[in-house]
Amino acid sequence: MKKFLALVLAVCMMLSLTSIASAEVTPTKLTLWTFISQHDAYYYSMADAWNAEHPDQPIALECVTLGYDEMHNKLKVALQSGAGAPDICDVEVGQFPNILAYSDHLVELESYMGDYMNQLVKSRLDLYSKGGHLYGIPYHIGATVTFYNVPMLEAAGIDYTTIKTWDDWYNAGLKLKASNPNVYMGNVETSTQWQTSLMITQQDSAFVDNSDEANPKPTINTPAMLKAVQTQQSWLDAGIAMVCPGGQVDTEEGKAWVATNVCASITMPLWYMSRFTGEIGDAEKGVYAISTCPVFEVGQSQSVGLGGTGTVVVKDNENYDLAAQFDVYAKATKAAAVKIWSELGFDPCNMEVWTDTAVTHDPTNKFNQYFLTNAFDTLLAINVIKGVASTAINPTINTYLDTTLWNEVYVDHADAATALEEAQTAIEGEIF
Amino acid sequence: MIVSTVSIAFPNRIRQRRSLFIFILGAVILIVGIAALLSLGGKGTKFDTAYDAHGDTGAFLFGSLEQGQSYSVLQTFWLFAARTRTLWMLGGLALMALYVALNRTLLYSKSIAPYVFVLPFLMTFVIFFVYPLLSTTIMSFQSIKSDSSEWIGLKNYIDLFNNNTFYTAVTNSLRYTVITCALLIPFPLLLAYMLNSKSMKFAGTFKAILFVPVLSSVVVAGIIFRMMFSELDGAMMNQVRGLFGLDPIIWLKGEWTAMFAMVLLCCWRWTGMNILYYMAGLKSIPNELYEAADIDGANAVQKFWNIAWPLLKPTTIYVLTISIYAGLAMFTESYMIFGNNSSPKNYGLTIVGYLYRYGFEKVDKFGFASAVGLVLLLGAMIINLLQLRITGVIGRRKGE
Repeated sequence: MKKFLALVLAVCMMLSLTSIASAEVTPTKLTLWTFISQHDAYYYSMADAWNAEHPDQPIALECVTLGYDEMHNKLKVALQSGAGAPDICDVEVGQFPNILAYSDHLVELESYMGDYMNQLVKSRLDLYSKGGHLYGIPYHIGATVTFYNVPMLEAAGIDYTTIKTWDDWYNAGLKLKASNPNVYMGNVETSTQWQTSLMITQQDSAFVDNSDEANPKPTINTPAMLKAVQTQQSWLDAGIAMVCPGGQVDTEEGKAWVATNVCASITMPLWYMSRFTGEIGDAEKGVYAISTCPVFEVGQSQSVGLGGTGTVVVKDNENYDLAAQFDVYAKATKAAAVKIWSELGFDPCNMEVWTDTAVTHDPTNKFNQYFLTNAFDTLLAINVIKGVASTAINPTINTYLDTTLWNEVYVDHADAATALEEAQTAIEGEIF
Repeated sequence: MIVSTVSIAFPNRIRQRRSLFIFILGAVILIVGIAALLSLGGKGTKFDTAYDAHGDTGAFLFGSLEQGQSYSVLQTFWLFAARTRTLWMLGGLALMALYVALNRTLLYSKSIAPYVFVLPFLMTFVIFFVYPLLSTTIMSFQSIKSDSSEWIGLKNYIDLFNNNTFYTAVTNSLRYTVITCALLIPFPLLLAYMLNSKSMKFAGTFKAILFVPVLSSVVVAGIIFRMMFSELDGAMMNQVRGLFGLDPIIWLKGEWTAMFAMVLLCCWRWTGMNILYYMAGLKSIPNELYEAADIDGANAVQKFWNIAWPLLKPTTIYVLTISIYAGLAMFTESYMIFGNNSSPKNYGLTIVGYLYRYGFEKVDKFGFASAVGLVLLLGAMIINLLQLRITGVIGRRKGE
């Protein structure tokens, strides 16, 4: 009996201790997964800002950076099994349709967004939405631009501002090659499709026919695709471009290749700026100017929003409410947009910032210091930035294009029309 | 305490009969609980929803329930059993434990003790092999969605055999297996024979050098090989080509050069291990045989072919068996060399990579991936059984 009483007493003491402890505000621990190492520094700085503004709801953020495939696969397994997912997670746009299959486990963010739903670019929010609900908050628009290597082009007597069409670009390439055979006007991608996406969007085409939303169909054997592929094949035939080492410029090998200063132009989404200031480093500082992309015919869209990351909040976890509030704070507010530009070098979706010259022309900004022209001057000069839909079959299409098609047409120099027909059949066979 | 209460409550003879009944009842309850668990198809707590949505294996056992149709008595019972499966299993175990407690002599029984001692292995085997195998078999006939699963018969298998990428993966895996077996048996054998020879200088040093790669992590080694086989001019393998006056090539985008990279990684890592097996085999061959051969005037080659090779046959069969298994199950090497699971034109795609692509990279394809896994298991088993039959390990009658 004495023992029993002692036990009761001990339990009471424990309980009273915890009730005292809970009177103080302990930071809520939130975990966040990302696949880009630059992002976690950004989130930590936003977490500090959040804690300064919300002393009653402090958070202790823990970011984990994993490899691209590893992170997305882990997230899928965690969502499917209902255990082990982080509170917040960055999801790349190409993988988003896969994650949306588990939308029951994700927080519908529109109620947390409030007015930001209208302030952010709608086409980017649509990418991360399903059935009228928003599941991920974007960083950026990812507008494609062309980075020109000004000293290299000037040495060959080329003024990059006169390049308006892909024909101009091709001719400039021939002129460059004639004066310096060791350099290239550009590159051709084999493990992704930034340039090809831009080219087919310019011709109002896409990889997927999304007119029937429930039943999207691959459209690979289109005239627009043929033109895009043949254009890039002609670059290779003329020797003005090379197949990018590593398959594209956003890989370890690709960035190492850019850093060797053999490339006169790179057409990439604007977020590639952060790779310049990051991994490529000072070797190319003060070399590249940011300009609008060439088009096939004047009047076509000069840019398309590519790439992107939607940050989702997992509903399975206890603190999802706070996590969703932080997600909105860290991604959608104007303060966030300013930081997204100044720290990460992205073109934020909150377009209030675009015309705020105090922010965009800040002379202390590392991106303004790195490039010869201002990114926002170029962005505002673009005639139209189109969007690309991401459907459930896009991951399957991308896998085939990135592993097989591009290698056939650009490495093995296969006939473009035949290869595209084969690709169409093969991809239709993969969708089951 | 329970035991003493029970022994007071029941006189001896009744106690024993009742206690046997307790044991059988416990076993039955345990089996019902396990069967209910197995019928979940690995979906755990989501079973209730899945069952109520008339999907899952319960429906396979008792036929699909249409909207509005009521449960039969058996179905109601099964639903109840599945929902309370943990209680059934624990209850069954408790009753069986009670039986053991009642018959304390069992604890000292010589016939039971061995089973108790092998129990840890049996449990591991059942939990981590038999159960996953059964579960995979069931899943391979299902379409597994995030919150439900549906019985779809042979569709996964039909899709699988109609998919061209699957044949690419099979070809790659078989090619890799054949090449690695062809290299990883003769060369380690030769090296082991040389290291075992008395005239070999610095044998210990060479052994250590050859064995060190075995200890390396395949992930670390894979990353280093990726860099070595990079297409940049400064990469190591392109530098090596340069020494011979050859131009740099794009290693990982060629069908055979990519295979070369994977095979080289495998050989580099496993030569040391196979040398170790052969060294052990060579040490077990008595010296007298060599001495006798010396007296007969045999030269080194004759001694190798007529003494070492036949007596090393068990080692060779062992190495061949594990090499076939390792070759067919290869995944990490390819994943690390190509940086992810997609390689140019699927040159690096193996069967396990194919399984991984559907199980983890795509959504709602767990059922399909299970079918891939089973086909791989059957394929590997058939190849190894054939191999063991041909080499005479199995199937030979007694006295032959």
